[in-house]
Amino acid sequence: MARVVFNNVSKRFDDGTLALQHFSLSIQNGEMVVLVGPSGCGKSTVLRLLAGLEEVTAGEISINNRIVNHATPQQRNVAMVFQNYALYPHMSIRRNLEFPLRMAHIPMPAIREKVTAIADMLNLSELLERKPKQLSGGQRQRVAMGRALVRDPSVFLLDEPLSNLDAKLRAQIRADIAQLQKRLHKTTLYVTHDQVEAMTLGDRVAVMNAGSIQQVGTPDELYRQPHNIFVAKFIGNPGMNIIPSKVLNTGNEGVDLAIGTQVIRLSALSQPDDETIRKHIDREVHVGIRPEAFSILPEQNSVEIRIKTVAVEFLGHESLIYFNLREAGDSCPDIPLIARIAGKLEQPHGGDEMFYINPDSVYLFDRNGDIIR
Amino acid sequence: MNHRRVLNSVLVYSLLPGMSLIFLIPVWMMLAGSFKADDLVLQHAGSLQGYFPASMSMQNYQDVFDRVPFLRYLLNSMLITSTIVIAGALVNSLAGYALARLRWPGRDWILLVIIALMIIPLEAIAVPLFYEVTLLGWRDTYLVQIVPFIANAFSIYLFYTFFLGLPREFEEAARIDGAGSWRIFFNIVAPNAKPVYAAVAILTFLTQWGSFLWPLMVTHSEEVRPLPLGIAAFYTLPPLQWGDIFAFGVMMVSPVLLVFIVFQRWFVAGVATTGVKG
Repeated sequence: MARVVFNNVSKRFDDGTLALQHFSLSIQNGEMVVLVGPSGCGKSTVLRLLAGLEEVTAGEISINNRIVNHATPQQRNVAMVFQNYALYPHMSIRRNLEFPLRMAHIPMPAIREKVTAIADMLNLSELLERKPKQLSGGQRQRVAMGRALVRDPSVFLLDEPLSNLDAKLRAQIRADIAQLQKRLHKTTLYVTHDQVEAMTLGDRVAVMNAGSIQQVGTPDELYRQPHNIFVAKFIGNPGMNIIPSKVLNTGNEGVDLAIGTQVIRLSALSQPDDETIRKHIDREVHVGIRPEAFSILPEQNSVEIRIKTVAVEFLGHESLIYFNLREAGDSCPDIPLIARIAGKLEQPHGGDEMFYINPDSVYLFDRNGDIIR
Repeated sequence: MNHRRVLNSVLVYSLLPGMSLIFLIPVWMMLAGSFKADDLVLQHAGSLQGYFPASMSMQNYQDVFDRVPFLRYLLNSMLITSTIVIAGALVNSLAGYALARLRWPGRDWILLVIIALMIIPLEAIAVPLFYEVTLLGWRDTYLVQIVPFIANAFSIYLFYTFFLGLPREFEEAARIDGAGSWRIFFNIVAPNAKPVYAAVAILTFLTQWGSFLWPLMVTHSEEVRPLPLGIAAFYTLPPLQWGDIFAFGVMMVSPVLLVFIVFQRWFVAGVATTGVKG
């Protein structure tokens, strides 16, 4: 049981790379926080700093209100599952599971008891006498989890634990991890580059880019209220469509946006933050529309937009439609956009179509990519 | 295409027995000669008879034990070589690990110096080294034949390259599990480096077992001299008897062959993992 706080942590490596800057995050007792971001964004560095494998350059890390900046990994009582599992190849599975307990100088009978218990919990009892290389990927993954859990750590760290598994196994073990975490109620920091893992596993998710946090929130918050374009594009599969645009006018009737040669009016937008939007009149903005916000049939209040279909992918329960807003002589840049429509959609003749957008699902970002509304 | 490949294989495989023979014949001749009466050795040397033991006399072997303290030489060689091999494995692997993994000032420079040292042969430094051990008063001891050869640049480099390629995660996992640096080295790193230990052990053994120049320079009493000086003694001990020399040679080479046969598989694996040609 532990509460973890990163307070304004920065990390600069010996070669001068700034991997992390002014990183602040607190993880509540028993909470599972997922760090997600593209590769090289510093998420693994956060994990290694908390594990004690790297030293912070500035700032403080505390576990249960005790600053652990200079504590050894053992003193921090953290356990970690590595991406490649890092099972000791020359030891049997039993010895692998025993190792952290032996290091803690626990008496042998107690070690045997704990190893048996954890092997039962993770279905490893049959495999105890084997060597890691005789196990399948999924089995190795379970051993790695077992080795981390066996000494009852206060913080549990997972570094892309599913990325070496095939898609089917990944979904299954993802569910197992979620279940295990609920049962054991361990403070957990989970690192991944896969937003699906982040959304399904995290109590809260921290989206990172270029060494700093872009937004922290529940999966629902990140999906519904992204703070900037990066988060909007990263969360969701496919991510949000971003279209350069311009605010023409705002008033009682709504906000008029110019997208290429088309003008769309978002009536629902105007009321709450009229002033904020007014500041952006005649300025460049970005319109964000989730692929799921498009429909092929008009609904109440929906706004219509002319599109040109490029390709259709039928996925069974839904279709992905690749399109753009280009028209003859159109100055609108050829931005590939994606819509997600339930069911099967035949590719229309000629490719010209009409889409309807729910104005409540339209986001506006300023020139710097921060949310306006 | 296929035809050519078959032809290629036929060519290669018909050459291989020939090549093996070239290497095996001298050894065989030594073995055959060691069982012959002394006057027959030279008499048969030019003919096919040289390759067959005319008699199975053990007289030459008996002579070796009578004329020189063979057992003394053997024990000396075993003591010197095994101490160098064991201490060398420990020291050089630790050095290689420190260079590959630990961060300390001057590391890159020292690595450079070690790599440079690999190309300097013993002959080049034998005389200054001789002065040094004389100053230390080590001449004519076991110590002088052991200490200078424990640390070895080439062995360090072999370990260094292997440890560089070992995934860091093993050590990091062990650190998080609560192991200290020494335990990580002996419990996690070293067991995974067995092939390199084997390769280094065999290479060191081979070099040291045949070492001649240095012992000749620094020793003069039979009590501390190794086998290669023993065999040399026959050339200066009249009458010159080739049969005795062959018998001595057989007994000197046998332990080397034995070591190599026992560790062969590890040795091949070690050479393969470190990418070094022996």
